[in-house]
Amino acid sequence: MNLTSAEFIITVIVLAVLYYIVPKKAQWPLLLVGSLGFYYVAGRSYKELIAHPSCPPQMIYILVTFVTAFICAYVMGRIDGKAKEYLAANKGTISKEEKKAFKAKAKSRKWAVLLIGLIIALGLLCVTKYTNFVIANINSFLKEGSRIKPLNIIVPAAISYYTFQTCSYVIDVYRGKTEPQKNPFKLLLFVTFFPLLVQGPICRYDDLAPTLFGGHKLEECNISQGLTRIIWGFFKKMVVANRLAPVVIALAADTNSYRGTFVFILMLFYAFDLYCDFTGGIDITIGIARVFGINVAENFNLPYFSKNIKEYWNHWHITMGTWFTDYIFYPVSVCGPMLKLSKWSREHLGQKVGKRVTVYLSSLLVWFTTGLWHGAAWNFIVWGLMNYVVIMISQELEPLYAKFHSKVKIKNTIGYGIFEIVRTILLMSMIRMFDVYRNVPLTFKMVGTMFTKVNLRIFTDGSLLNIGLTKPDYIVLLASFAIILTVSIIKARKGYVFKKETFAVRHFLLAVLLIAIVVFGAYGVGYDSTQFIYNQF
Amino acid sequence: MKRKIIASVLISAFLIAGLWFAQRLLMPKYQGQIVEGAMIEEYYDETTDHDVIFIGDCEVYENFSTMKLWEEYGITSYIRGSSQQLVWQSYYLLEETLKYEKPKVVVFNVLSLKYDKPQKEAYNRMTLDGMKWSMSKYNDIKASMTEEENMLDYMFPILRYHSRWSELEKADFEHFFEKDKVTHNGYYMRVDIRPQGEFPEPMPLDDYSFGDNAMKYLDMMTKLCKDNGIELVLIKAPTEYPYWYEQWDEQMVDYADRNGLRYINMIPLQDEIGLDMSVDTYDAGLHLNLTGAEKLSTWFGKYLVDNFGLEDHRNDPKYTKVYDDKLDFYYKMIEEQKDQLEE
Amino acid sequence: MKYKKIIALMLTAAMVLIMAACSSESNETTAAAAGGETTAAAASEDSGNEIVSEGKAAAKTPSSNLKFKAGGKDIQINMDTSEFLDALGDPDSYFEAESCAFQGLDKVYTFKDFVIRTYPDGDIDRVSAIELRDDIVTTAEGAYIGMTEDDIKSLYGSFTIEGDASTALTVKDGDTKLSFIFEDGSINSITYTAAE
Repeated sequence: MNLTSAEFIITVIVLAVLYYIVPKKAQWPLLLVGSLGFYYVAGRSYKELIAHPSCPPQMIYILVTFVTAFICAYVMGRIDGKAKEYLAANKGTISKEEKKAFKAKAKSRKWAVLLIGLIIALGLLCVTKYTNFVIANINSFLKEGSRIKPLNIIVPAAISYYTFQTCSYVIDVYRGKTEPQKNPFKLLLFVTFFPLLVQGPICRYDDLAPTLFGGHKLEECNISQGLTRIIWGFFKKMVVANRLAPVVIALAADTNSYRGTFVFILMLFYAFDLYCDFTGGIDITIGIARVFGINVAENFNLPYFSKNIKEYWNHWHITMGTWFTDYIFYPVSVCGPMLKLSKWSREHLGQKVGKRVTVYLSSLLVWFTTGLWHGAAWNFIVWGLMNYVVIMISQELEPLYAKFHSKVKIKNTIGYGIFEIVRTILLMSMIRMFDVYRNVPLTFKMVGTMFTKVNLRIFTDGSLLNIGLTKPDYIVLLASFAIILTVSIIKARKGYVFKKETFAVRHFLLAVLLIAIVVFGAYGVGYDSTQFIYNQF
Repeated sequence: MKRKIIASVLISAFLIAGLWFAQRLLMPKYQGQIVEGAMIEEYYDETTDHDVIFIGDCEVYENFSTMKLWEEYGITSYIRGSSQQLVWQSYYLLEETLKYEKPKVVVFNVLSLKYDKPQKEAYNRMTLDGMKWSMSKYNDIKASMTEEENMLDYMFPILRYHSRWSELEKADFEHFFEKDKVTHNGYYMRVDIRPQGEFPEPMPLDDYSFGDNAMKYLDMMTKLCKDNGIELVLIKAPTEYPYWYEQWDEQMVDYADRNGLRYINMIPLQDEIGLDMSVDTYDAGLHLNLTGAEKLSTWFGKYLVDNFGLEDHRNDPKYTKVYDDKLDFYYKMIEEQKDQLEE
Repeated sequence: MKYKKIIALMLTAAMVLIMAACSSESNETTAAAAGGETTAAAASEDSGNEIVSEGKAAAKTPSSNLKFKAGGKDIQINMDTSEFLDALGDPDSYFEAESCAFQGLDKVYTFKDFVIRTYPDGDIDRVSAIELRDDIVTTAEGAYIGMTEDDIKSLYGSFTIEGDASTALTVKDGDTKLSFIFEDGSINSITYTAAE
């Protein structure tokens, strides 16, 4: 289901109204019913629902993941509880060594439970999402005739998001950071909370739980702030992203006509499109949760103002980045074999190199999985690895930069700051071309033409008016860009956009923005982008 | 708190007003070359009732001159027709019309029976957007939508027309509040002449029976008229293209027989009506022009008077006052169109 | 009592929700929800199929195995006429009819052995019907005027054939309906039209 579809909007409105009518105790159960209903429908049309009213297989997947998480956490909680009881009861009678051994035993039992849980949850993710990718790769080595048939599995909607969320919960329980949730329905709501099932963010149980299950009064600030975020998100998605998406697809599909400088245009368009689509979607998600009085973690923090790629990745898709850091990078870095390797390499390769070996290896794993998480395709894997390479290179070059800056005093000038920002955006956008084109070699080839086949004439000969955008479209895009940039600068300077006391001004501006979305949004029958795309095929 | 409430109310009012204004501005006005979309709503400006209501597609609104019917027979009539008006659209328009008045005779042109399913969004819009909101409109929309359309776009037309912001014309501002009249009691006038040429041969069909859906609405129309004591006359206008198959004609004869209705296929009656398709058509024989429509109205008016004893209202001051103005407008338009042709 | 209330409310909520969610037909896909960096990425992966299937254009893309061959070209229902018209040479006669309210022209191209009818779709014309008029031309599968019911049944065995030889046999595939209209036990005319 789409965040901007009429069905979704109506669903949220109805749910929000009910939410504040029912008694506070019934609020979270209502959300649970709503979320399950949402997932049950999940983009299926009325016709399909009538034809196949039975439970869709994806529903079973999400329930299996949930049940696994609940049982694992429960068992781990019991192991902990029993251990505590035992230790308390035998305080003074057992020796330190016995105590230690007991604790270790409990921990290893928990570890076994955790392992089973993760294997089931991640196993489902891998099987549904990656089986066919693996088969396709094996097939490329096999002769025709002996090839394996791809499986007929539908990837369950939102499986990447809820699996990661569930895993973080189970791991946190294992680590003792989180108390296991005793009410299965509450945990089920955490797994299925519907706004998060569209585009993320990947929330942690500890962040979400305090507001997710609590009773909420109808509060003006929640509604107002929620609506602000929702409308802002709609603006980015409907006016910019929906306008650019078909153009991006068309430019990427016809690689014969659109090369050279067109690739550069495509790159900029995609950067703007993706930013608006993704941050807009997250704005809507966070806004909806807000309306229900629920705090969802921020996923972006002005990523395009980052001065280098590392900073960029701290500000873009934050919840994913921290997930990989917390649950892959750190555990891998400190696991037994890694520590041994670290010791070995320091001894044999010297401090300088040895120190880096484990960091490089752990990071490699993180970026490989990050790429894979984005999609079952080599494009995404290469995309992840490109990020890895660039980050590592820039880290190695840091001393060089420092030297340069100690000699040339431009580091704190505005001009240099802008240069750094533009450089980061361009670099990130170029790497991102891997998820634009069909395959990896094609991406290299097309990005290459950007430098070898410069044709600046397209700016003057009207070619840019033939790619599905009219003059008015460009005006809307430029105006939107100006608005988004202004808002971002204000936010970067002050840390907020609106002060609390500017109630009337803020809501007046929102009303204007809402009218602008309705008029200038790229949606509906009248928007003949589909016609344009069709021409490509 | 109180200030916030006041602000909220004011801003909500601003929002609604702004959207309403934008919607009004962005909806097509149909005042230029394409006027067909403005026809349906003109009906609501009528101040007097009508003895005869025509319903159907272009074969009624281009072929019958309501003013001629008035001038010659004192018959008050209105054509509730629009481009490619499908059977269910005719049915619901009739249903709606009956809420405003009870005509004595309803005339329905049967050509649209050949369509059993929704056809084209553009025509749907021209037919439906002009209707006032009622259950009839709602049901009409539901019956008419093609697969890619949805109800919300009809309830809030701005969702459909918003992208016109870059194509706004002077007319959109000029006719923001009021539109010019484009028809004469639903009659769309054309004075130019383009003689009828040769039509291509009809294509044989594998199945000549009208679709179940189309016939369902014809049945509903028959029942609606019976229930209201209205005479329903089925006609096939005298124009020969699109082709009216013999097998279709037989079904209509049969249907009229079974339901005790009158059915007139006017195609074979061209001579009796006095039509000369080398001068009485403006688009090579598809539709009649002014002279053709007047000839047909003279002939059909007599039929109506002979068969239904319609009253002559020409001495009734209630109507004469209104119709004098209408006639003025009629003759003025004839002059204007003729002037334009000469240019 | 209190619980009953809550349950009742929850049931109502669920019903309203489902009804609201189904209120109008959605043709959106869920793929984006599961996917990675969102829309464009996923869509470009399979060369934009998702978005194409959303638009009305998709409905008009020719989608049938039933084709007519002429002038070395495949001709299909809903095909853009500019793709083949030049190859057919000049027709014996040409007729056009303005559709109401300036919505374009319906065109009829009459060639010696067949007729092609078109409807307007924006700036282009698409095929609405093909009619075979004599036994010199055949369908792509080899059917021609004068054949019998058995001939058709053996030629079109892989398709579902409807109707009977007293009036017509029809074969449907994708957006196309191929009709064999019989008179006195043999085919009298063959037409391709849009399947409903």
